[in-house]
Amino acid sequence: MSGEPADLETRVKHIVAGALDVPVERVHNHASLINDLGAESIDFVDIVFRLESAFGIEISEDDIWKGSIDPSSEATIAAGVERLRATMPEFRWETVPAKITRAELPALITVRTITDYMRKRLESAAAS
Amino acid sequence: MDDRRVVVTGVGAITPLGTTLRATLEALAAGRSAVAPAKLFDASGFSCADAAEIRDWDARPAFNIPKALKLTDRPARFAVAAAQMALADANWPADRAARDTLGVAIGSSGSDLQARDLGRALAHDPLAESATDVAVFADRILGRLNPLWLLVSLPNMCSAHVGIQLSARGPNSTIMSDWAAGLQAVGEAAEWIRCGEADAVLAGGADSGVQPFAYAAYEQARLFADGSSGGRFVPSEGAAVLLLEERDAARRRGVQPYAELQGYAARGGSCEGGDSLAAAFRDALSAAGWQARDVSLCTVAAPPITAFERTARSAIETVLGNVQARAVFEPKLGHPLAAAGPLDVALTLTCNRAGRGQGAATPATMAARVLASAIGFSGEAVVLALEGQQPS
Repeated sequence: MSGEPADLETRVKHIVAGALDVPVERVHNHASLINDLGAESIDFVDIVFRLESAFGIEISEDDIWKGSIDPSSEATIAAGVERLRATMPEFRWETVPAKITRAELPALITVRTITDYMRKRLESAAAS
Repeated sequence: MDDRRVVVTGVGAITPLGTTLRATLEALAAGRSAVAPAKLFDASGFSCADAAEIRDWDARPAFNIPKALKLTDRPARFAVAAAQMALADANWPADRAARDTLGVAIGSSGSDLQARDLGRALAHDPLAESATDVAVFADRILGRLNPLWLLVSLPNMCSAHVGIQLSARGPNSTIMSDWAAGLQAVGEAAEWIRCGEADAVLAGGADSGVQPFAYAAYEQARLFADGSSGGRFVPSEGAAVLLLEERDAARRRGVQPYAELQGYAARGGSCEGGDSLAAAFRDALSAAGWQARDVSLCTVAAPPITAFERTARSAIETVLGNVQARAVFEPKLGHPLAAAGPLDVALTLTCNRAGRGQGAATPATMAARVLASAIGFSGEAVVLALEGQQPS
């Protein structure tokens, strides 16, 4: 498994770059798909399909949207954002409001959110 | 609103003979042909293995938002490029206010449904159960297609993408009266201007017949087997877009129009015997207040197929008499379906302005009164009455 993370990251970055029509060099781990790479809602549908096709797994629609945040209440969102602030210092936090609502959550989806999600999925698939 | 009149102030086109109108005219003048064995897909199993294709062309520079390219098929890309050229030709301002009311009306005969992707998905249904069971179709076929597939294939995408890429936020519509659709879009756009719904509209046609479903349909209809005196039917592709403006608004902008659109008529019904086309000729003459003898040129955008040729000849003889007619679409370009009518107009107007008069493809003279017509596959007939404008 040692070589896989880098490989996974590269594959995800190429998929994102292809879907958003941006050079792969611009697809940094901490880039927000919406704020930095110009993604619109329809692009997430496209990215999910491309990931499913490339990795041979099914991704339910909400999975990537939720990322690592539970969007069910203001409190759970705030707690999730705090965690992200700690784990994603390189994210351009100035591009999102101080108090993040459910509607703004998609802006927090970074390239790494997707890579992390894919890694979890692939690991659980390999384990089962 | 009676005094609102419509002029053509910009033209843009992309064809298999050139990625601009000028290049297309030069290629025509040089006698070059774009007809060659199809490369976009393997057409060797059809009676016609040839096509007139736009090759070695990159749509990217025409797209202000490149990400949208994944949402476009070939006609939509051609439409955006031709519309860009029409705006540039007319010196249309880039400011927001000018774009806020700019309308778009593009005619197209339909999408190729991205046959390659669809075919790949259908291969997972060898017993063709999806043909009769919607649930199976959704599960086995749609589930294997990128969710964007439907968006790319929607019939209004040419107009939509022109609006998006050029920030044209005025009225936006699509005409789908088959091969007459492009010319009808121009006519309907002129009505918007006449009624005061818009002061300027990008209008024309964009299409591609170089795709497997179209070839299958033409084969079934025996169009490939039909060789008329004008040659044989070779599907083509491309787009031609005109910028129409309200005449006084154009004057205030200080642009010199190519022509004034003085009459428009559209008819349905049977193509047999030229009924719908003859009726549309009469309606257009009446709308323009012209007599048949006023017409110096009549163009008929129709493929070289015997039935269409007979229709055109009969309608011209009945209504127009001995008018100079170009009754078959330029064989070296193939037939670009719904784009054919507007392309005919664009080529005629460009020749007009250049003052060229050589050859069968460029017969127009200054201030000529031209009837531009197109016939659809199902009997649709559209006629525009255009009067060339003298430079002031």
